[in-house]
Amino acid sequence: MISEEFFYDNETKYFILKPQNELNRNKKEDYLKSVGFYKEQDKRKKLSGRFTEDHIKDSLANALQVVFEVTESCNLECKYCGYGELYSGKNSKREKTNLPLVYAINFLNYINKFLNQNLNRSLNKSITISFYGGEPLLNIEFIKSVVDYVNKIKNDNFNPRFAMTTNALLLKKHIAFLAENNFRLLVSLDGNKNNNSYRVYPNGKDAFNEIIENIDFAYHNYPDFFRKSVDFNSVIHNRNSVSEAFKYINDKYKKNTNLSELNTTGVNEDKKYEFWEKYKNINEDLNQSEDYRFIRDKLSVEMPVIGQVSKFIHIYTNNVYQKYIDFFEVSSNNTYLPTGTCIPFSRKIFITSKGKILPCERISDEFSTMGYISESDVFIDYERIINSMNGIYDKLLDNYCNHCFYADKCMQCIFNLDLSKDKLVCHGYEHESKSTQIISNYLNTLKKERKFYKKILKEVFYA
Amino acid sequence: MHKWLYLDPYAEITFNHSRGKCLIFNVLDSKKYLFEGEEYKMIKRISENGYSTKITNSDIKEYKSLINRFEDNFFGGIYTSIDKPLILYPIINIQKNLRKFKKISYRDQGTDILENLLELSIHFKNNSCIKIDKIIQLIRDAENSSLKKINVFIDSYSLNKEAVEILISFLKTAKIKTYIEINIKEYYSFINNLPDAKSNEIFSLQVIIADFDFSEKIMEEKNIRIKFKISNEEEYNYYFNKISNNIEYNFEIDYSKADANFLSENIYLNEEDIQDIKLTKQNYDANKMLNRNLFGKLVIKNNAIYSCENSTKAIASLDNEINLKQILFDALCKSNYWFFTRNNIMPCKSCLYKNLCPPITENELQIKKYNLCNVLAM
Ligand code: SF4
Ligand code: SF4
Repeated sequence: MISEEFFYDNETKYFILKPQNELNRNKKEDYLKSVGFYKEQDKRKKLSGRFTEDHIKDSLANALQVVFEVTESCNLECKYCGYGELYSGKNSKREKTNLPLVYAINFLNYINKFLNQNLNRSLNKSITISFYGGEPLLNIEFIKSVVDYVNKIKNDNFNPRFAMTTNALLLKKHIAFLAENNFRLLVSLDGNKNNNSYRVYPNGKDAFNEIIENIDFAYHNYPDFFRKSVDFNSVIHNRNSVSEAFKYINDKYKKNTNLSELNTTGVNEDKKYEFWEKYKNINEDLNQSEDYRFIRDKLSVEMPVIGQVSKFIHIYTNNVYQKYIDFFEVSSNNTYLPTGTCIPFSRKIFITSKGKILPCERISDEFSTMGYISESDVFIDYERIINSMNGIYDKLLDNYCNHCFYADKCMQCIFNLDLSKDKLVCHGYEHESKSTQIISNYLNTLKKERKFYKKILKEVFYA
Repeated sequence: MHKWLYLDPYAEITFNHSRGKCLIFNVLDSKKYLFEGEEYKMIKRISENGYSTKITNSDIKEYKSLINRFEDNFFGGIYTSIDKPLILYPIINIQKNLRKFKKISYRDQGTDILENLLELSIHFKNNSCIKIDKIIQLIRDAENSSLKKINVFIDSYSLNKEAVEILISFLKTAKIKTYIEINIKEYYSFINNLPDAKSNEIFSLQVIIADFDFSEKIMEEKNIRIKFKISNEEEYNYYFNKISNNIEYNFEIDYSKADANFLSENIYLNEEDIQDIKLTKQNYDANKMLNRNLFGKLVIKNNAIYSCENSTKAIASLDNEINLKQILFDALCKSNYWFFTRNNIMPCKSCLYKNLCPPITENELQIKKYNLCNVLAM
């Protein structure tokens, strides 16, 4: 794989500037070959990893985060909500179900047992217990009971932290409890009154004033908690811009905000026009912004584009080691699990309000339900998960992955593909021959943001 | 258009700023290049500017020999462009750099701590009441660690007979490669009681011969290896003449007894040895970040656990409740041995070869002398 400007070798992961004079360039290429560049790689062998029951058990025993979908109910009906009219599919049907407390308790007991097995490799590592909705604060009794229960059963191997995503409307009422229990809060706010105007009550009335009143209350009355534990998230769309959302929150609360885009998967066919009218691409918006430099300096490595560059540096160069013992092992013999799907539960365990167990809240439950909780039991269907995931890999491997540029550095999650179709199509697929273009795109972005190169390598540690 | 002098990302640089010198190590072919004076200054400038720096036509004349050296040896050169060329120069990032996590609020220092256990050494010394049940518990707790090797040093078998036997029969089922060392005096009674130590392939048995304590009979043994401990020429010659062809053996110098001359002649590194050193990028980076000889090793002796053989400060005692994860955490985050590189110690710290030389060994720690070399390039 060779880019226009650089020699690049997949094995050593060195980008090497090509001399401009042809003679020198040829000599350098011969030299690089003589020291082992461009050896053929056996892709099939590399991608021969299989997903097993041990992988799942290992993830459970080393779990990082359990997310409870506390309730499907919400006190807002935001115009772009993933469960609203813009989207189709099962996820969009909400029945205002609350997650029964007994389900949560059953699951906490279940995970506690896993965390206390020999399979848990960590000492005092924390596990985040998150509350998600709907609007989780609508079911505060559930949250309080879970916090109580967790505090009762916690132990050396079950070291909890609490977190919540909220629209802030009930913040004033419950902040004392949240602060007392050291919650980390992610508050959704899209900017000023006009910027935030898709976030409305079910009757269509703008909720901005009440939202701000609640956030202000927390800001003025719980300043330490606010400074340490409150973060913001802004969805970027046609009524705001990165700059406006960012400046409003920065001026008012001295905080940066996380940026997200409208979810482009599962859009209702009838609403496509409306959707694309609302949709805005964060990077494009930011590039056009007059405040680009200001925002970039504030966000630093948290800028979305820097995030992409950072992933590129982490995956495509040879500077990053995952762990100390990588200095002892020969990585060229490694085999990978195909695709970029994370091992289920290795990042998150999502419990829906109906008691389904999913690996993530961002994917549809239709194909990714991996277990169930009942009044009396927790059941994880290992065999079904393994067969279904390996089955999907097999379908993809021959048609796609074996010829795909991304094969050993894939970030495509299989649960974001349309699994209902007989013939599976991967949107992420790029034929190997496109490597020059793909690499050049990354490098051009890196060139623009080169001052982050050092910072990324010095400061970015992915969880 | 501008002209830029650049280095390739596989040119690893070690500086000695106080002496105005530097060494470039080409990771791709392991060749080494020394620079000083004005050339050192230019390399410093390149290094401080992300591996490329703008130069003028007069610079090109002035630094002609430096530029030729870069180009002829394929680790850099001149590039003509408006923008500064992008070089993805070396900066090591360890994602689970637990020692750093103390300062990062969102990362836990104890994350996956078990994966850092690589080797366990158990000593049976001249005290008889070793807490073998605790040791076995420790090995059991290491089930999901990266433990690949166990060393069992039997200084005194007669005093620890029962404990050794319990351990050996446990290890038969634990399926971890185990290296046993026993002195020749006690070898026969040991092997009579525990023939598995020779026949079971999970074990590798080494018999120690020292102080001229030699009998011809040992040369007839099968499936063992002999280690001759020597500290001078005479011992070496004595054993060497007795070795028969069909036995595996090696010599090990006893650093604490050997005199300076003997050490210097036999183990000191010379300039040629250093020039011959070949390192991959992985090894080179390892030399900068940690000690490959010591990292991941726990040592049990006198009912206490240490983070290396020569440490005098125990990190845990077998008299108390033991928690393998806590022990590993203390070895990794609180003790320094696993990260004891040549950059931590004089005179190596100021030597240009500090990232190339093999990592500090237990022997060096034992005699507290770290530059076992005739080089010291400063
Ligand atoms: S992008 Fe798609 S085709 Fe390419 S490796 Fe990933 S899953 Fe396979
Ligand atoms: S002084 Fe230290 S680093 Fe330098 S050559 Fe000698 S042993 Fe190696």
